[in-house]
Amino acid sequence: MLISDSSKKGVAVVSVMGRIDSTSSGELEKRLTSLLQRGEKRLILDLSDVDYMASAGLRVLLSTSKKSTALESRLVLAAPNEFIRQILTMTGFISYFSVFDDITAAVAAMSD
Amino acid sequence: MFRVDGYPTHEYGDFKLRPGKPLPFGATIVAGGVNFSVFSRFATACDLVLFHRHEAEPFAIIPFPDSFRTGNVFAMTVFDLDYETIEYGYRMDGPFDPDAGHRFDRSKVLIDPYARSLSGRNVWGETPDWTTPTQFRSGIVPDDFDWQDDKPLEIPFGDLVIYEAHVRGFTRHPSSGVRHPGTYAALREKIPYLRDLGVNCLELMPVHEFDEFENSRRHPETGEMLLNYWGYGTIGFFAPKAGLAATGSLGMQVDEFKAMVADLHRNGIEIILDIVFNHTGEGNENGPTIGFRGIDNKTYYMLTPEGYYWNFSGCGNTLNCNNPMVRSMILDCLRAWVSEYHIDGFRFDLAAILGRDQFGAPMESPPLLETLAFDPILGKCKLIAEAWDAGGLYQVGSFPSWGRWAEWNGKYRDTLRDFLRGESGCVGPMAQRLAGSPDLYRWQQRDSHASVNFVTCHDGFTLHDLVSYDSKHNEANGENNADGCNDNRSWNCGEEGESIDPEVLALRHRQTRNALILLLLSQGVPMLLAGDEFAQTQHGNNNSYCHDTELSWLDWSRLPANRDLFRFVRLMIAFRRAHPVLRMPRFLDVVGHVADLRVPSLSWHGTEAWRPDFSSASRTLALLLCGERAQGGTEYIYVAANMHWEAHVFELPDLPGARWRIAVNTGIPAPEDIWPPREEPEPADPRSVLVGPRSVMVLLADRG
Repeated sequence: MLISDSSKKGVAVVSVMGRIDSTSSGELEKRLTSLLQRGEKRLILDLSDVDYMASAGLRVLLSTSKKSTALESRLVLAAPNEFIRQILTMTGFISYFSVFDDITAAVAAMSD
Repeated sequence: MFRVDGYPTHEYGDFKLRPGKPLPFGATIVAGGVNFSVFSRFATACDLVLFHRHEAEPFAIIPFPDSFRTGNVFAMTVFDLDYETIEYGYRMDGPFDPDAGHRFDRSKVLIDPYARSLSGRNVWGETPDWTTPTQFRSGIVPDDFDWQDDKPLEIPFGDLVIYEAHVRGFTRHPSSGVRHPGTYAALREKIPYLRDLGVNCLELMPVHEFDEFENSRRHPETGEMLLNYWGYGTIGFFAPKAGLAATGSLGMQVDEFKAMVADLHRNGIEIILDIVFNHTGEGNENGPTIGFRGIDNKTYYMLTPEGYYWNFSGCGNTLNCNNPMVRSMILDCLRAWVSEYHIDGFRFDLAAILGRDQFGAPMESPPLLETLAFDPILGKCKLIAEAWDAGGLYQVGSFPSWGRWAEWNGKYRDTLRDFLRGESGCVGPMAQRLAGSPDLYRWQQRDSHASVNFVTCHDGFTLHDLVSYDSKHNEANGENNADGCNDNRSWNCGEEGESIDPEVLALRHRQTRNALILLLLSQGVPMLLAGDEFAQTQHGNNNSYCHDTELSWLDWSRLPANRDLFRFVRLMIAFRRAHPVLRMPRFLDVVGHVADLRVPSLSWHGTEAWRPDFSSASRTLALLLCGERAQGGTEYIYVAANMHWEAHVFELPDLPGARWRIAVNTGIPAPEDIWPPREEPEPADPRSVLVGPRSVMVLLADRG
């Protein structure tokens, strides 16, 4: 798994490449948490290059989302491929998140 | 917080270990690793076998050092394990001495009886690789689901309308219109349908891990693959079946299952699990060794003095439910389903077995049943017994209850079916059933909620088939039509099977509605079989346990054609919910006069008011209920059931100041067979009604 972050119109975008599973999820959690603690109020998790998400990955998304709510920040998901979207739907995790088809839509929604 | 037990004390090869904690049993994620604990009274040694997911050979076999054993429990913490990608099993050493009850086999890798997930049949129906020596492996699951505010709903038992369904059968049919047919996820998609129908309790046929390939075979003539489709043959009591999950191949069935429960609860629907503690999927001495047999055969199974398996279940073996260790496993299991999965209740398959001692004799006060009745975690959950077993013990009306256990009332089904088909001598018994079966339950100071009433369930004909077939047609099961119940009390209404005769069809329509209306007007707790609301058929097959085909799957394309029936059931459920007097916990004849000093809460009538005819030749019965209206005031519900083949005039009880309105008349074609609230017409004659042949009328009146 590779993580990179950038900024679009003042919104932090964290892009992940590869698999989010029990070996990599810890690193993702650290990165997202440090961004939130740094005071980022708007965070997009770009899933376009994520090809697998294990149960541990879902848990990191959920726990980070809860942290962001506690810090009055907003975390949204963007561009999951069909497989990832299915996993989110079938396990019911999708109901916890706002999910956008692409980064542009997510940025637009965050800028409202 | 710093904890000293977060560090290893021992090493085995590359693995860091420490003596484990014996409780809880199973594999538990702890600081730094995973705690494995398993009990066996007679094993002499035990190995932990670790696999990477999808790899055939284990990557480690770690013997439990003797110093890690406490009593009969092997416990070990293994550090630095990636719980998400590993699977495990146990190998047990011990005597192979069947005469003495021992069948240890060190060559087998056994599943953990407490495993929270099992792999091996992750995708339903995928033909197993039979050359793999280990067909099932245990998995490790974190119990950290985000339930938010969810908890079991605790709907009063009497207010339930139970709907019995098979997870796969509910949505597997191409007509179901869901994205992941046959799964927990798909079931969630159907929740709006259940809400629309109005049921508030979903009872699922077995969802605990089983092997659908148990005793799988080809039909001798058709070549069709026959499976253990129903799933009565548990191998993992703590694990939701992966093959029923859309995410089973990813090992995420636990999350998917919990999401389903949370969603049902959000929609006001409870969930009851059918749980099969009477036997396991290991069969008799010729069956596979998957877990229990190899871990502690003598503890887990009821054995004959010669060391063979007692077969009170009709399925090859009998779980030794009143062995203290098995008892505690059952308790642990149910507690886990309530606390980890928020399950609202359980229906215990062949529950009479749970009251047999270790030698098979029925007990007066079975400790297992008493424990479950008084357990604090199960304290508010529904306990429903199928109060008989295949060994001849029939306990409907006498199942030990401690005021907690309810029963599938098999006598209700039999009486209603006989009354429905116009048998003689049924009016008296039918009155008992309509009143909540006081003849069966009053003597124990139980209430009418001890009785789960039903006319059909998964076992036997569907309702459509009950009125379309005189006898079973189980040829597709490949046993020369010898399997399945012969005591069906069904009637085909004039022609066996599908018919185009309008008279036959009209009669079937009426009989279907008659059955449903009597069921939904009876005191006690009604249970519907999924699909009966749109005339699901199994073409006369009354034992479809082996068919993972369109024979068993609900055919949703029947819904548009049977909209009238669906509407009838929906309105009848709403009617039941709107009128508290239909679901009183106390027997109404004991209650006496409550809402009206002149009219008792329950009274019996015949074609003449106040004169029921309980004679053998009678086929007419009327009932008057009087109770408090939900919105205040007094209400009267009058039900006239004419199961005679001739029409009869029923004199209405004279209630000064009350005007009768017709809510239901099954003798009239839809949509005038049932009226929505406030649209009910008044009868032409306020003193009497003509009830058509084999028809039921319901009238309403209120005051205040």
